[in-house]
Amino acid sequence: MNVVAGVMLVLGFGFVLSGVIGILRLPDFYCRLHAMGTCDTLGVALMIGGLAVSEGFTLTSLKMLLVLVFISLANPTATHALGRAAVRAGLTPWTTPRGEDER
Amino acid sequence: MIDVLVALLFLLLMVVCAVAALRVKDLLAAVIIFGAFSFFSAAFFVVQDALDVAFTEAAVGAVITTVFFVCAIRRTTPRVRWIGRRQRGSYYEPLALLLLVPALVVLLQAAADLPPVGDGASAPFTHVAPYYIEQGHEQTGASNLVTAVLADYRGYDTLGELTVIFTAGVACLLVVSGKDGGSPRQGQGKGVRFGVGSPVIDAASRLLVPFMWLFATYVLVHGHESPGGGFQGGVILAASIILLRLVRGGERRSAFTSNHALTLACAGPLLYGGIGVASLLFGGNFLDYGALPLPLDPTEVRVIGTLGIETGVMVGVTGVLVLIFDTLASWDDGTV
Repeated sequence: MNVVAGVMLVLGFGFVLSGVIGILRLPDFYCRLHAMGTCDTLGVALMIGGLAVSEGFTLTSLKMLLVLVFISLANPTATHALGRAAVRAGLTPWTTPRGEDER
Repeated sequence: MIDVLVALLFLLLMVVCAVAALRVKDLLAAVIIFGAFSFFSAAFFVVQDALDVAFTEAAVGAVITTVFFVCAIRRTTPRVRWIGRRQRGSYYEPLALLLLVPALVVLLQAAADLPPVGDGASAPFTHVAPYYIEQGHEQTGASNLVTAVLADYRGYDTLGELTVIFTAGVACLLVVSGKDGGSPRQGQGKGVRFGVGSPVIDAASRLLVPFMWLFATYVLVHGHESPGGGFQGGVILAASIILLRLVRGGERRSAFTSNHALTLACAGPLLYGGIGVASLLFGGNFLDYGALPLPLDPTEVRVIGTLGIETGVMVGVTGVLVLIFDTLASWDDGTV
């Protein structure tokens, strides 16, 4: 059980880490949003899931599972809302300048 | 030890957020940073075992205040023009320093006199606190001592708090809406329209809102046993209604109109005060609702009374918050 919890925590941490690196390194809002989406949803969900597994079958872990359900519902929606708002505000996606996309 | 370190970390992050919110030039960005500040503040309260306060801070500070600020900015302008344009020979900065340095000295002086955190021999822990801790559960029937103090021992103060919130709502209504007798101004400015028209956001919010209502009720009713109570429940209820307004396009499309919110905002304090007056009529003191003639144990009567005034708080808070939102948002047509 502890092994499963540990694997989930480490995986979750990996997603969060990749998300943070993505936010810092990617060129524009949409790319960063893409990075943040996974970090926000899968990373946090895996971490809470791992904590729930290590907690065992208790009321606390049930509450954690409820948080997990909420997160997996709310966070992708929030990501979608952000992206949609950016499109509506007229933010153009980043593209490579002409001539640079051929090696 | 680790608790202290985590608390210090959150305090540090709060300071960073506060400075960042001051330095940033875009007001919207400042509002978002301020939301982060509130989340760190809530986390700090959790570390300090002040769960009831953390609850309120997370819901009001991070969510609803942010929405209010965004609405206010949408109605005015997102940039501060005078920041960054530093005028030569401006006397504001020396003047501000002249005022702030003495204030800092006074505050540091006062802080030096504070007892150490958690000192059992300090004044707050030697007078009424032991009494509340020893007698609270028996006398009020509440396991959550915060509720016992808030709604029972200190019922007057909570009535005062609710009155302050009510006054804030009325003041907002008076300042923002014009002469047309209380309804939000229509057709002026751009109005605030957020996620209207997206099926994804619509479906997700419709899925969430019933559970938010359930949770708000749970927080209200279970406030006796666990962190929560009228304020928290009211804030969650208001947040759900504001969410629906943001997603589905404003007050005019909602069955719950601004006038309903105004009614709730008035009904809350009225219910609270009404219970107080009722206990006066039945021979007790004001808000001594143990005097209410119900066919139950004295403790159970107190529990019912507490629940009654907490319901008043919840109704009042919900009404005032939705009212402020409607006043600030000022929808012009609600469609995109």
